Amino acid sequence: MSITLVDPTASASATDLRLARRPLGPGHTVAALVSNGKPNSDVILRGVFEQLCNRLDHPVEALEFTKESASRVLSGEMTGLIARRCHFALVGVGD
Amino acid sequence: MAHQVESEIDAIGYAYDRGWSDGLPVVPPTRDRIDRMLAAHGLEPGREIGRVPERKRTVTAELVAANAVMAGCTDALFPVVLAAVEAVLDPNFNIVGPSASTGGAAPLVIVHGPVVAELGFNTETAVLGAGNRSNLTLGRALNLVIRNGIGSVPGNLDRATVAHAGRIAYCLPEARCAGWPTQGDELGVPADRSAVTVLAAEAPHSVADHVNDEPGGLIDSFARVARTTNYAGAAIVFVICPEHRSVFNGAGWTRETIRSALFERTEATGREIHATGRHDDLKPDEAIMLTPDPEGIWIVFAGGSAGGHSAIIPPWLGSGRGVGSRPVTRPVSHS
Repeated sequence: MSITLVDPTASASATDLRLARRPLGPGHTVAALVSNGKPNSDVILRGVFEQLCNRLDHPVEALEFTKESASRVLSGEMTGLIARRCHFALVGVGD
Repeated sequence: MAHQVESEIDAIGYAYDRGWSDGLPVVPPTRDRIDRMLAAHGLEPGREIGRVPERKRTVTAELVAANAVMAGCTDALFPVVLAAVEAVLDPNFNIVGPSASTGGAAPLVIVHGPVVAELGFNTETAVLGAGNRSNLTLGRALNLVIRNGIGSVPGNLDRATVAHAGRIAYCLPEARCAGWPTQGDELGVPADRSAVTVLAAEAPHSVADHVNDEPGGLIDSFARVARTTNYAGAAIVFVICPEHRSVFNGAGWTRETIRSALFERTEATGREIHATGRHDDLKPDEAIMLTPDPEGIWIVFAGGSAGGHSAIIPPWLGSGRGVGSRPVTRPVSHS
């Protein structure tokens, strides 16, 4: 006789996931550089951003953000600000 | 979702194959075992215990029961497991931080109140070690929920550099010693009620002192070890063994005296903190206390009657003086 096991895992719900439109065109492009606040997070972000700029054929402005706490997810307020002002974000994890 | 296997031994192997196990064999989470555990406490399977919005996950009573069964919990222990799960799902605990961090902290579960004796928790010899079903299965069930329900799987969302054995089970039941208030009392848990407190914690640091027979010297021994810890938490736990407690007791010291002495003796400077490689924003001569206030010095009396071996359990490095993670206390109910 077979045994029935109950799955002890929970999957992430994807029902409210939406991707924002972020067209990267030749116009004015703004990047968010989001540091987690730990040492070197900002350094690696600027380095990646510099490499990225070298590959794009139009100028990109960078706005730097630092998480309020490295241990917590980005606040809704900061996420909203980034969404309103930036076309894309680079996130750096220092440790 | 249900899964079919041919035997109990196949089920153990199946759990490994599916990644449900913490590395040790599990009790197969069969429908009847889970239903019995839920029914014993009048809980519907779909009852929501909490959410992790950052990971878009919902933890239900059935999920907790499935993991409690796998951990080897008795039905009677289930309300304590539920309380611990509710506590780590409180936003103040911030489960996505310590369970993902390279710091490798584990959820320490401190158990308060009558349930300690009722369910046969061990508060004495090898209190933080092996040998007691309630201690070990409570801690294991909580860690399995964090793995299977919240997705903190090593190498995936769990990025702990080395971690520690508390990631399997980390439970500290609190004894009530005559004449001494408990940490549960300090946290406002009524003496006739049971509760759990969870703290994102590093591994215990040993305080071995077999020489000092007066409180001042003993405080120095505790302070020497405490000064090697991270100064990062809203709270830090001092597990004081009976032999050390008798020294304080004999000198007429109280919890308050011990706590004040420890708080004063562990003041450090930014220079000392920097020298240990713990990054922070302190100026070199700026003073920092072990915890933001003396109430953050927690004292739990536990351990075997022989030996001058106490322990200090530091918080997760990412606790950020309570901003990154705070201890959370929840009553044991559903019984």
